[in-house]
Amino acid sequence: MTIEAISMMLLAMLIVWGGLLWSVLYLRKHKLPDDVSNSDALHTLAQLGEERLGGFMTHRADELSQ
Amino acid sequence: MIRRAAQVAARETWSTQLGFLVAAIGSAIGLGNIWRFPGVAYANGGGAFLIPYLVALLTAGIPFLIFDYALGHRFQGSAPTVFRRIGGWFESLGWFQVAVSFVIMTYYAVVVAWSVSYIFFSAQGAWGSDPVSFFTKDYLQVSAPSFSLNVVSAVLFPLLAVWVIVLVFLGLGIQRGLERANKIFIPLLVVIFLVMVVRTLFLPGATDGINAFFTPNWAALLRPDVWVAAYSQIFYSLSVGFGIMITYASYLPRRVNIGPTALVAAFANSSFEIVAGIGVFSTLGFMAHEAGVGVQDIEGITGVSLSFMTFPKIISMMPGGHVFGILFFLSLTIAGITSLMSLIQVVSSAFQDKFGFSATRSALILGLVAMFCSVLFFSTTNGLNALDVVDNWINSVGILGIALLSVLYVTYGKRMLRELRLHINFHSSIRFGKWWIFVTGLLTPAILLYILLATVWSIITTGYGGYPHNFILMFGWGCVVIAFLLTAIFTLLPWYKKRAPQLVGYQPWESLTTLEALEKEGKL
Repeated sequence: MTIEAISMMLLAMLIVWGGLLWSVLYLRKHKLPDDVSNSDALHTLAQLGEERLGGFMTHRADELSQ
Repeated sequence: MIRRAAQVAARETWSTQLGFLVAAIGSAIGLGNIWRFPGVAYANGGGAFLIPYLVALLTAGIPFLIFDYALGHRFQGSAPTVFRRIGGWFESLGWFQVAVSFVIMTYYAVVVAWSVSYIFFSAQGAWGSDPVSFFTKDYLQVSAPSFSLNVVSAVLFPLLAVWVIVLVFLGLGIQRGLERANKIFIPLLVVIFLVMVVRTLFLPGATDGINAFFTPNWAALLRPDVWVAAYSQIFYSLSVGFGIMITYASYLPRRVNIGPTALVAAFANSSFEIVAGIGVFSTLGFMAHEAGVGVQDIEGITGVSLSFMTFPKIISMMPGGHVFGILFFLSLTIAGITSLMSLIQVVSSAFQDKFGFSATRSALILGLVAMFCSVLFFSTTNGLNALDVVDNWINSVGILGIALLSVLYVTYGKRMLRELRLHINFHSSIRFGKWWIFVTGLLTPAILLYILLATVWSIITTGYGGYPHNFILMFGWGCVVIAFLLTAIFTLLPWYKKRAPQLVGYQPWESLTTLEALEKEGKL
C-alpha cells in the first residue's frame, strides 16, 4: 500500500472511530440521573413553576385549532 | 397536568435510551452502507473523497439529524402530527414524508427478499459460472422495460416471508417489537460483518483493493460533483429528512440526552461505512488478483450489480466461498430488515396518530397494502427495471425535495430554529450554539437545493439508464405523482375524533417561555 493510502485510511479511522468512541464515552459519562432535581436546568424549570407556561400554550392551542 | 399525564400515557416510549440508539443506528445502517458507500467513494476520488464526506457529516449530516430529533422530541408525534402541531395544514409535509417512506419500503422489501434467496443460493453455489445471467435471467427473469403482471414465484415467496417477519415485530409495538428486534439484529450484524471483513483481509490481493480504495485523487476535491456526491451520501445514509428520525425521536421520554445520542448514531453509521469499504475493496482486490487485472478494471462495484452479480462471482472463486456468501447475504438481509422496519414505522406511526389504530391493526392494514404493491410492481419480470427507476426518482426528487421543503418551512415559514435549538440544549449535555442555526437553516438547504436542481436537470436533459421515455414517465415521475396524491388524500382525511383534542391541547415538554427564561439565565 502507498503511504498516501495508509495515511488516508488511518485518518478516516481516527476521525470516525475516534468520534464514535469519544461520543460513546461522553454519553456514558453524562448519563442523565433519574432524579429530575439533579439537573441544573430542570431545577430552574421547577422554580419557574407552571404559571409561566400559560400564555404561550393558549396561543399555540388557538393557533392549532383554527 | 392531568392532560399532560394522559398525553404521555397515550404514547409508548423506548424502554431505555440504548433502545432508541440501537434502533436509530439500525435504521441508518442499511443496504446503502454496504453497497453504495464503497463504490461512491472509489468513483469520487478514493481516499480524497473522505474529506468532503467528513465535512458533509459534520456540517450537514449531524446538524440535520439533530433537527429531526428536535422536531420529533419536542412535538411528540409521527411526521404528520409534528407538522400539524407546528402549522395546521402543513401536516401535508409530514404526509409527503410518509408517502416517500411508503414507496421506498415497497421496493426495499424486495431487495431484502433477494438477499434471503441468495443466502440459500450461496449454500448451493446456484449461480454456477455465470452469476450475471443467473441473476437476471434464471432468478428474476427480467423482461424488457414495460408494465408486467408476470409474478416471479422465486421472488414472491421470500418477499412474503420478509413482510410477515417485519410486520410481526412492528405489530408488537415499540418496546416489545421494534426495540427488541434491533437489540438482537444490530449486534448480530456487527459481529457477522466484522468476521467477514477480517476474512477478506487475508485474501490474496486484499491490500491492492484497500490501496485502490484509499489512494487519494486530490484533483477530485476541485470537482463540485464530488462534493455533491459526499453530501448526497450523508443524507441518504443517515436516513434524515423523510420522517424516520422524527418518528423515532417522538418515542423518546422527556429525560434524554439528545446531542451525544445523535453523535453516537452518526459516527456509528460512518464507522460501519468505512468498515464496509475496507471489506468490499479487499474482496474486489482478491477478484482482480485472481483475474490478473487491476482493481480499476472491475465493473459493477455499486448497488445491485455489486451484491448480486460481482460478489457471487467472487464467492465462486474464494476458498470457503459458500460460508462467506451466506455471511454476506445474511448481513445484507439484517441491515435491510432493520432499515425496512424503520420505514414502515414512519407510516404505521402516522396511521396510529391520525386514525387511532393500534400498533397491531396498523401493521396489519399497512402490511397488506404494502405487500400488495411490492408484489404487483417489484416481484414481476419487470421488477428490476421498475426498482431501478423508482429508487432513483424517490431518492433524487422525493427525499431531497421533502427534506428541503421541511427545513425551509420550519426555518423561514415558522422561524422556529431558535426554539428547536433551545429545546435541544435543554435536553442535551452538549450545547449547540448559533452556528447550528446557520448550518441547518442556510447551509443545508442551499446544498439540498443545489443537489436537487442538478439532479432534476440531469434527469431531464440526459434521461436515466437508457430507459424508454414512457417507462420513465410511468415509474419515475409516476411514483412522485402518487406520493403527491397520497399526501393530498391523507391530509384531507379527518383526524380520529378521540385524537383530535390532543392536537389542540398538546403541550411541549417545556414551553418556549420557559426555555427563553433559562437562556436569559445563561443555562441554555
